Amino acid sequence: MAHKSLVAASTKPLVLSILSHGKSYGYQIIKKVEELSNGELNWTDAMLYPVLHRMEKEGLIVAEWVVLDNGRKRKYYAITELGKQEREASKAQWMNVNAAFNALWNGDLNIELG
Amino acid sequence: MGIFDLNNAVSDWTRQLKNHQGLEPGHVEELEGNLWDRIDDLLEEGKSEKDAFDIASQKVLSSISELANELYQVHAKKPSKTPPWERTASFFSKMPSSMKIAFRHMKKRKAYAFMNILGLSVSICFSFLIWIYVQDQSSYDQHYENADRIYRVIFDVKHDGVKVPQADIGQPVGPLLKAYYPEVSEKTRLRRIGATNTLAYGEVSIKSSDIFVTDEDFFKVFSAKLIHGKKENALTEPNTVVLTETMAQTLFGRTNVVGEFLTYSGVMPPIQVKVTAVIKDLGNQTHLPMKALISYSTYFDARELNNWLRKSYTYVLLSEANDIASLENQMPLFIEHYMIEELRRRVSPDVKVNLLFQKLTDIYLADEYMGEPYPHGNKANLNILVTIMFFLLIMAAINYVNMATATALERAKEVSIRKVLGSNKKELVFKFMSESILLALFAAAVSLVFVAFLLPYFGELTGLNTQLGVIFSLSNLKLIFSIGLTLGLLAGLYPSVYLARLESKNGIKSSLKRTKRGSWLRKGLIVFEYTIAATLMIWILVVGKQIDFMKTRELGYDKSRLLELKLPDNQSAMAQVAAFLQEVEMLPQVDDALKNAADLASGYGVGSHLMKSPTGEQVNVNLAAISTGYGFAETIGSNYLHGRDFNKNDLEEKGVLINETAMNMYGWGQNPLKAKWLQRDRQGEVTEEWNVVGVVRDFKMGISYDDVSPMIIFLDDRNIPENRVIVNFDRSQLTATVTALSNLWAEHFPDNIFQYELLEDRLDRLYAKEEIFQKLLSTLNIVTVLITILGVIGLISFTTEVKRKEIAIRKVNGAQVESILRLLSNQFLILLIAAFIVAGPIGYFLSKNWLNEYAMHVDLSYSIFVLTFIICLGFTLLAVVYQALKAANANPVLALRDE
Repeated sequence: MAHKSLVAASTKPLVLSILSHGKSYGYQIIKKVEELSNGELNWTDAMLYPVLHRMEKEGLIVAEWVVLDNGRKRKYYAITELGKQEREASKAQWMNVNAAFNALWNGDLNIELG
Repeated sequence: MGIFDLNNAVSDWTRQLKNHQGLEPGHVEELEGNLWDRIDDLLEEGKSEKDAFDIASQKVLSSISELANELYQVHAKKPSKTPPWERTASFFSKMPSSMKIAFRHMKKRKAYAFMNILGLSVSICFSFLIWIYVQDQSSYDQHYENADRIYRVIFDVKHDGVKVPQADIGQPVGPLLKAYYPEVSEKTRLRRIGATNTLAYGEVSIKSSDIFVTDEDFFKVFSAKLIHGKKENALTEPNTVVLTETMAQTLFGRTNVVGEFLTYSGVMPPIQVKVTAVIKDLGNQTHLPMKALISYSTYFDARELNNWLRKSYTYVLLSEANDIASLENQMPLFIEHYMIEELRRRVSPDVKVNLLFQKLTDIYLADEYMGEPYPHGNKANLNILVTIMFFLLIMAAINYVNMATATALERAKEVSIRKVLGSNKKELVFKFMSESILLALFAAAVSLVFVAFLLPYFGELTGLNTQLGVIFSLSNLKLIFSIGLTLGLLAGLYPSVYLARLESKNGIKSSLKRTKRGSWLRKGLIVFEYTIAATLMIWILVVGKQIDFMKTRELGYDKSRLLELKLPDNQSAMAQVAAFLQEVEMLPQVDDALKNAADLASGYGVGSHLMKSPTGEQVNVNLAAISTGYGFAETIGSNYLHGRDFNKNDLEEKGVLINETAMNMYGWGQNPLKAKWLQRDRQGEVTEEWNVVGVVRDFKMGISYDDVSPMIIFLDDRNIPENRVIVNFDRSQLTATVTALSNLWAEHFPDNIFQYELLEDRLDRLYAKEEIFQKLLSTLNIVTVLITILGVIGLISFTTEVKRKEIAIRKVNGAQVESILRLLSNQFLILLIAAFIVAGPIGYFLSKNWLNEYAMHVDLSYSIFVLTFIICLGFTLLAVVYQALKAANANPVLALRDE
């Protein structure tokens, strides 16, 4: 299981990144994240839905109800322009963090300390 | 267990979610979709429908409240820390829902709630204040242990058609009762020696009328807490004194003063008295608020036990059986055996005597007998106040009933909808009752604020000495809130039943006809309120008129021109009195001055005298006896109808004066100067004949509202402190006179303080009780008028609401504002007239009854009734005009477009 604070920090960018591939719905997002993280990120409904609603309120994503063939309703989320900008901003941040870790963990780096 | 149905399970699950606070329909549907997605997934994995549902639903539902809270944070306009359903329950949310609705209703109709609360709280406040006052007045002397077994022995003497009830009784009565009647277990006697006595310690001296000479067995009858000293021997020795705590503090600045000596001056030359005990103050709530007790033996020795002429206040403590009836039955024999002979000899041969026992706790509110040590309270006034108190509460309840039924129109819809939704009558009654109770309790709380605010004024008005802390005791608070609760219950009962009975089908289509019956009730109640307010007003005007009459009645002398000086009370200064008086008479502002032993501000009781009529036969006559110095009639501004004053140049003259009434009463008008007064010795034998030297034109002493007593006037020209100086002066030069007098005083009596008093002030103070009563009554009348005004406003606002369309149509058809005003105020004029038809006779009866207490009183004139009517009309118009103008000036379109 990923650390709580890491989950909190990564939820929004992950949701935005997933939705960049097309519109999706709550359960699908949970499944996708689980797949991509090899089961490490196991989101609960209680965590995801409030985040989705907040993002919708912030205008990063929009929601629409879709009636399925079997008569059920499903709420689909799609990314907005604002959401895309947000995604780019967080992408740059995560890349920076990633680059830092890569450099540190590749083994050939020599840092002078203390 | 039946077959598992997935669809049912899911819809059950959804319903559960919908009931969860904080989840809105959109959220629930989204979650439902989510659940289906999970289930579909699990079914694909090969799980059974039941397992799939269980796993999926558990996953979603396990964190349901967390989810709801999170969603609340997202959607709330002002996300506070915790969602409402997570907060600890507030007072408001804990209230029963009927209360909540009541509160909301109040919030919605603020003016209605305000008027109701104002009316209720004002009436609760004043009822409570009255109650406190009545309680205070009727619980005198109850703090004494065995108070129910203590009685005061009083008697009344009837002779020659006069009845003289006496508060004090011959010295031997107490000891005889104790010695011969097993019913009496203890007795004690007290007397006041002289009007005021002085106790002095070093520089500090206290002049007080609260110093009594007391039997040594005082503490056997009256319980008192001793701070220092012993009860048993406190009053046994002559020249000893028991002080109250306050007295000791004032004199010594401490209380452990047993063994100290004080200088005591009563009527005898000053003596040294030893403090033997200090007791806790006897308090204000006693008919005997004594501050110091001098031992009986200081004044009286054993011989006094047989002195039937010397009277004292006598109290007895009955034995445990407390058999007062048996004791009273034996009194005729007691009188026959011990008293009658003496009284026949001294007073009159046909004298009749009654010995009575007055319960200690009843004394303060009983009638005042002759020689009462202190003025009493007035039971009749208390009864009047209590009656008014009940009326106040009823009026407040009436206002509530009025306003609650007046808003019925508005509530009718609510009632209808509730009925349609399945409420039954009982529930509705309960709902409306809870509303009125809530309102009344709230008003009770508000009234506490009023009480706190008004208490100082009320204390000033009534002389009630109560601290706020004492007033707001737990039991009093309980009382206030139970008044509130009772009021809420009583006031709420009728409107609740009335509202709950409204027909639901009429309710929705609000029809006006339905309120017809209620409107008669409302009008009747308003008439009732008017009646109370007007009755009180009539009464108050009569009381005011009577007080005015008493103060301005022709007394036979000009009271405004008389000023009194107290002579100094040391012997050396007395030598200067004659010289001082001479110089006073020479002052340009002063007409006359004399020494006077009689007090013009007190009434003198009639006693029996033996006289010789002008034709020479001996007659028993009843005369009030006073003593004055030379020139009394001239000084007060009276004159002689016959004869002259005492002869200043004949010091041996044996002369008396009588007044006009005495002369006429005994038919001596022909040659009154031939009548003689017969002096008797202690055995009743005639020793000397005194000539009537003059007949004085009548003048009224003491209270002004009864007849002038037949009077005999003796000469008393001694230089003693009891003899005051009366100065007849030019009232327009008051300041100049007083300055001149004080200068003269300083010359002659440099060691004594100059004190003067206007006789008029002292006479006016005789009516203090009536004035307190007048003030109380006026205050309460203002309150009743206020409540009536609220009632009128309530009714007028209802009428204008009902007549909104009528007014609008009239206006559209060209009616003027004035005519609409008339339309609305006419009904109040009718109500007012109806009220006066009732209030007039009641007011007349009450005032007449009150006036009958006064031997002389004003006549009830029509003007009082007319004045009251005009005042009532005035405040009605004030209340009506504003509302009526508002209605008359409203845009008719708005009213007509409604519905």
